Amino acid sequence: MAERYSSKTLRETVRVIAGRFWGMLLILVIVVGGVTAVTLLAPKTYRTEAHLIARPGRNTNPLQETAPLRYELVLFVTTQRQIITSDYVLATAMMMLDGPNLPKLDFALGDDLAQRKARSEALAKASERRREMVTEFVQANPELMRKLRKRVQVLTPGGPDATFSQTFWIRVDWPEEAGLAAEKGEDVRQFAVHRTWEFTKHLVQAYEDRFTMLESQRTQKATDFLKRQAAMEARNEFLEASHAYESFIKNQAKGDLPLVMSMSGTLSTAGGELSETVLLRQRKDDLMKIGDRVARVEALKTAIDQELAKQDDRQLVVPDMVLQDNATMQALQAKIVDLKLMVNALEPRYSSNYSELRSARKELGLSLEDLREQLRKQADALDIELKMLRASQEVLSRDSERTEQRIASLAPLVPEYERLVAELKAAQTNYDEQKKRGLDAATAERLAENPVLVTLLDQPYMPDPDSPVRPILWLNIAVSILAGLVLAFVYAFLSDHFDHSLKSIDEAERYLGTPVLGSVPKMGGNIVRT
Amino acid sequence: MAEPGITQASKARLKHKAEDVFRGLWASLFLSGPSAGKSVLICSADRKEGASTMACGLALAGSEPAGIARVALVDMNVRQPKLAHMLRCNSGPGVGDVVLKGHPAEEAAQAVNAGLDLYTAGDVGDRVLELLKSDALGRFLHTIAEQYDHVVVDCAAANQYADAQVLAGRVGSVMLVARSNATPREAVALAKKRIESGGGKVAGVVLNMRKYPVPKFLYKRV
Repeated sequence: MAERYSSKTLRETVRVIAGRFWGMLLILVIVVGGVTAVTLLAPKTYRTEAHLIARPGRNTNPLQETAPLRYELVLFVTTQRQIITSDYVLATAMMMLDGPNLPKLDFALGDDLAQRKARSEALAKASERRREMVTEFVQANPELMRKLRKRVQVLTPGGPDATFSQTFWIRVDWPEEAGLAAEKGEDVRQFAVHRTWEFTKHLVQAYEDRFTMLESQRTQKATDFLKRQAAMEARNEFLEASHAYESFIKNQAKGDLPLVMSMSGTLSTAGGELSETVLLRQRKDDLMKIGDRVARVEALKTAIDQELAKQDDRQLVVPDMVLQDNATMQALQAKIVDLKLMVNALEPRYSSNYSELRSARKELGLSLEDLREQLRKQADALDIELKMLRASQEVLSRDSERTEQRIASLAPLVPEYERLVAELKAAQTNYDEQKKRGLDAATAERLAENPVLVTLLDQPYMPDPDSPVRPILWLNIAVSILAGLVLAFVYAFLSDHFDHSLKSIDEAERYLGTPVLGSVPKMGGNIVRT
Repeated sequence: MAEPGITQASKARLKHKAEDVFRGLWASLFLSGPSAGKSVLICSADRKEGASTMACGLALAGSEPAGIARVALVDMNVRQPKLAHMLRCNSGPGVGDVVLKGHPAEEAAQAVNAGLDLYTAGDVGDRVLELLKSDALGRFLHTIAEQYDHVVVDCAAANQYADAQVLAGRVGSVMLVARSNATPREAVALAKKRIESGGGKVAGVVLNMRKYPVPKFLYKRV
């Protein structure tokens, strides 16, 4: 087989086209004719539009935070598209058009509180009833809903799907309804035009109702929150708690508040202790010390009294306890011991008349007398001290007893106090929290009162019965011609590609590798004449 | 050999519109190029592609004007002989009678016009293979090749019967007829392969029944 050429020469191209000229023409005619017929037979629809503008309720200063504003608008317009094309709104408009008596929604609540409440209840009821009816309608007419969804469009200046726009409009394309018009005995066109117009008005109304309902629900939530007066309740609670606390302090704790506080441990002063308790402890310490001292003094006294009871001076012994803290006694004792030693040393060697011995004895006797005297003095002093100690002991113990009694009498107040303090604290926290939430809610309410607003720019206009919306004929024909040509060429080249017959001398030689001697044109009939 | 006295034979002529075409084809087949030979087998790949008409037209074109050459047209399309009817001749006696029954070759020749003798297929019955295999056929073809300037042999479709394959070995030069815009090129290639395997040589291909979809003025320009 000879080499094959992938590129077709111009002649072959012409041959391909010319060989299938009629087929291509047929395709073209079918395509163009079909499109034209469909275009001409397309149902006439009538169009009307309602223009709406979304105005942000705040941030009206354009220099301020444009980006959030932008997002807000985008979000808003997208949401409105959803709301308008929702089954609920479409069905509501359709029901308004066809007349089933939908409950009216009256959003004007008035200022009087009682009236307001009654009306808001009525509104809620009407809204609920309407919702039921509409839901029923939607479920009963799925086919109609499908059609309605096609008839209503929400457009923005940037194109059908652009959302960054302040304005948007509802476009309604309503077809002629010949059957319905005949039923009512009206002109088909006039009937369609009126239906279009009225449906659009109802659609705007239904949308506005829906929008207002949604917005008011949102506002309602914030208002309700404030109306519940949770913050007020919390405030009252707090006031009550603080009042109870104050009266407790005034009537029960009186001047003992610090003591009660210190007892409950709620008071944390620098020392952590209060004078009363410290005093009480000090007194107890003192009492203990005095007790010790009394015991000691009594012991001393007993010892001294024993010594004093002895008749013989020589037998006198100073008790160690007395010596310990008495310098005079110690000196005297030392002197007596010296004298005794001296007397003892002199006695064996000298006669008792020896002057030195005598003087020594005399002195010893005097010293002993002195000692007895000293001891007596000491005993007297001890007596006095003991008396004083007893007295002060009595005073102290009385005093501390009184303090203890007071503390004991205050003790039952402590739990009461602690409860009150805890209550007060809780009420305070609750009140603070409610105040904060109330503030949030107030902000929310303020925002809700000032949402992105929707204003109807243009009422829907009455469509012109003489100019229904129709596909653009010449455009469709032009496009169909193009499409038909493309199809025809595709057909020609495809069929040529799959046609393996020998079509030209070139091709035959190329494929067979044999010279083509010639070609004989098709000649009708016999070639021989006889 | 045509009897000079047969008058109706001289009446068969090509129609005017076909004359030039077949004359040109005749010229390129016999008078030019290295493939020019004495006898040629004309066959098509498939049936109904105009091989018989082509053979008839060629033979008529080659034999006119009278006296330019002596041409023998042999109808070896023994399965569906058509030439006799086409040229208004008797269907017998023909090649079958000569080869199988031993009739003399001269008896089978029917003069179509001054320069053209037709050998019809004759009575073959179901002895086609015998006819094709027989030495007598070889001898017959040899005889007429000597007697005439040119021999044109028509035969059955190459892709349908083995006739063409066998005959190609005896005749040598083969002209394939393909119907343009109809015969698949693969079929023609197969026919060519079969003929070559039979020992023949494809001198060339003729596109028959060609249509010119492109208008002439445009055809000249592209």
